[in-house]
Amino acid sequence: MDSLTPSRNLMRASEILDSFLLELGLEEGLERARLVMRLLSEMTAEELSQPLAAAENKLVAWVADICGVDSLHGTAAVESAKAGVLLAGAAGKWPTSFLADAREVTAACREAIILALPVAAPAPLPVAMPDQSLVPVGAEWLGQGMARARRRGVESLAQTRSISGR
Amino acid sequence: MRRLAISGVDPMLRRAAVFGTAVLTTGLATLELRAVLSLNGLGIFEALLLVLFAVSFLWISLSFWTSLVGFFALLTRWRPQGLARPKPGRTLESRTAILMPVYNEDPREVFARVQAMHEALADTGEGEVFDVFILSDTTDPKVWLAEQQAWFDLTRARAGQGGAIYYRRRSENRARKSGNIADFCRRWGARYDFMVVLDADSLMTADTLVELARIMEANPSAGLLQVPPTLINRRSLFARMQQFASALATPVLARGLAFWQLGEGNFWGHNAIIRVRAFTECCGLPNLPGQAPFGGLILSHDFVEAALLRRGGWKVWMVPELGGSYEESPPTVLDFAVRDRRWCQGNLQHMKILVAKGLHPISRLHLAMGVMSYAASPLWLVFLLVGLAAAVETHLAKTRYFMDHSPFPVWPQSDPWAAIQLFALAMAMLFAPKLFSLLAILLDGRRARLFGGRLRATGSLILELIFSTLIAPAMMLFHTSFVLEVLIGRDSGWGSQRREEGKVSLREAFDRHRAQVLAGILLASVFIVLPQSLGWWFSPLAAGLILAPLLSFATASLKLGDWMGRLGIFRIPEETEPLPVLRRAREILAASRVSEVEGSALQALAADPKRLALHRALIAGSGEMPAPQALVSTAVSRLEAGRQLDGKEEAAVMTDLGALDRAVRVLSAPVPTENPGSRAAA
Repeated sequence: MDSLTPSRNLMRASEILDSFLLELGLEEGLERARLVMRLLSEMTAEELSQPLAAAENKLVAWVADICGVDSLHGTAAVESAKAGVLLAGAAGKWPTSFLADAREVTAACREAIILALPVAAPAPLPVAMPDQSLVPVGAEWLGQGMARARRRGVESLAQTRSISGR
Repeated sequence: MRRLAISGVDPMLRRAAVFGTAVLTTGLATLELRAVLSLNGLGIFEALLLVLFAVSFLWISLSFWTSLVGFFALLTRWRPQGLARPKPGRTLESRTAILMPVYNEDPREVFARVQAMHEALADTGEGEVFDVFILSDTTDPKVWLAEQQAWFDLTRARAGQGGAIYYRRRSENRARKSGNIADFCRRWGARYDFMVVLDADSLMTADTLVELARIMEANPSAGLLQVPPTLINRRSLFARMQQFASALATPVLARGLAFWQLGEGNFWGHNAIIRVRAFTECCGLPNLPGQAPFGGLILSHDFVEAALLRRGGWKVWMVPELGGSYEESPPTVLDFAVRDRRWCQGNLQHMKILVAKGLHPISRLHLAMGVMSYAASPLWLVFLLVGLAAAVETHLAKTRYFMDHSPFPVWPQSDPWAAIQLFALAMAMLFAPKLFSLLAILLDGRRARLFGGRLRATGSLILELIFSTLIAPAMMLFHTSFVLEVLIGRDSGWGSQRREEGKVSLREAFDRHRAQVLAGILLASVFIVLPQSLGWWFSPLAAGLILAPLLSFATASLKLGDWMGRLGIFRIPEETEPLPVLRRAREILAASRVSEVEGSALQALAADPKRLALHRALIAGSGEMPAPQALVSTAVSRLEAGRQLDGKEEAAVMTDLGALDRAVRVLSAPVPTENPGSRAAA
């Protein structure tokens, strides 16, 4: 457990969260401050003991929750949201949506969030890729060749006979 | 199954002309040697020499006639018939995946190249139909984290511009690179019409990528188009020489090959576009029966995949006229040899596949040529040893002047002039591909300027020929030892290629070339018993072997390479007129913010929540199975007990979200501090 007092924890968390949000694209200081306050008010004392990770996780969970990302993309989407792209793209572009008390966000914001998800790979579309045979040619292959040659010979002989009228 | 529509006569005539002249030349040269050797009667040594000479000479002869054809094809701007060319500027209707398989490579370099290609594709207006897949088989956990960071930065930098950029790491590297590509085909291949397979050091221009997709659209029977890559981007002297030789000879040799291969071409493993459906249907590679090195996983999968595509009725074309296809050379002789060790095993393994049912004769020829490219070395070595033994025997044997009680003496005969002529012929044919290539440059003022001018190009080739002649005996012994190692069943394993430059010490060079130096000294000592006239024949061989470590050391030098570069020696067109995509890749690399991971990978994750979040996101969304539970549990327990984990254990923990959380908790826990009082008391 961190040895800092709760008030010092709060200040530390506030600073880290502020710089984190700045890095994510929230350039307006006032908006950052409002968002920080709101996040901190939702954090427990235990979360405050590890300020940065807790604040970040809180922010991510909150965004995922209000945007309904979870229902759209499943667990992977929430995890992806943790990557920060979502926050960088959406929080930076629509800070007021995130700062509003209402939990509704605009459709454009929602779409931007979905598009901003760091999809590492598209959904699989499985197809079979069967192993090919590399069995060596064997005696039967030579036999087939001989049989073909014999057949050709017989046909050729028959043709010669039919031409010569014998 | 598709049926090929190439007219039967034309390919037959082309092939008969090239192979017929090669066989004829070999026959004539062998008869000439027979005449030289039989002056004093043909013994067992002489007969053996003739056989070895014929086999080895056929190899040189085929290369000579191919390059001669390529030379005229280059001059006449010939293009392979049967491959339809689309109208310029036609909008693409297909979707293409660009695959970049990586295995513990430097992520900064890989992603710089990817970004440069992605940007260039976007500039063509066709970027939307090209998605990039970075298919990682990386096992080093720190490189893995760096790849994730590089991918994350790249997706942010390129968001909304061009196609998507995907990243996938396999937990288990089943079937190495071929398995990596097959995994893509099985999971996402159905989303794409074509895939461009690259290597970690590949670079292709956007124009070439777009044109490849257009040609594939215009040729529904084409299964694969190979654009022969040329070497770029290196600074060491050895690599510069390789780059120069590649830039010089590839246009000629590739056109020569394309002339007789037509739709029965080959796959070189990367820098090629492939029809995904054809590949998925025809190229699932089985394990060969038996143990490695001949059995098990097919190592050099590219030749086999081309043969299987062709067996499935798809055409495989070489398109040398496109250009815009690049890769990097190993930086030193020793790295080159290490790569050859892998390739040698892979190619010799093809002896088993050579006789597989249903393959096209030209596919069998490609496989045989792959085998021969390594088997030629022991054949040449035996040829030289037999020649040496015959010379020693002749010299030491008592000359008999009177036979069968005849009163007339029989003088020993020799025809040094005929022997010199034959030697000159062999050397001329050996060097002909490069000489034809130089001639093609000398005849074209614009191309000559790109190589630094006619004088510099000629001087560079002379230096390159001297070097390649001197290093050839060492390479011959390397290849011979590789072949023997494979034959006695020693597996080469799968190491990543060293791509950084300037890393060979004199000690390492002597250590690695020790056997060759000894062989050179032994050979030189034989000269003591031989007359001087015979000694001269073997002197380049002995000199090359004795000098091998020095050559290896000197040519690894970046300083020498840079010096040559300043003088304009070994200059290549891409240095005279740098490609925008290459220039951009260098700029991106210089500005890269992806740094090496400090400490262990798990420590880096524990210390950086954003890195951890990204990692968790990628793991959760990957669909990959975690590492075996036993390995993960043991690793976490060891970590909780305060032990250090090795790379494999760390990587295992990093595949499992639950284990990762436990590991991060352990590593994030505050370190208990000692009681100051007790320390003071102590």
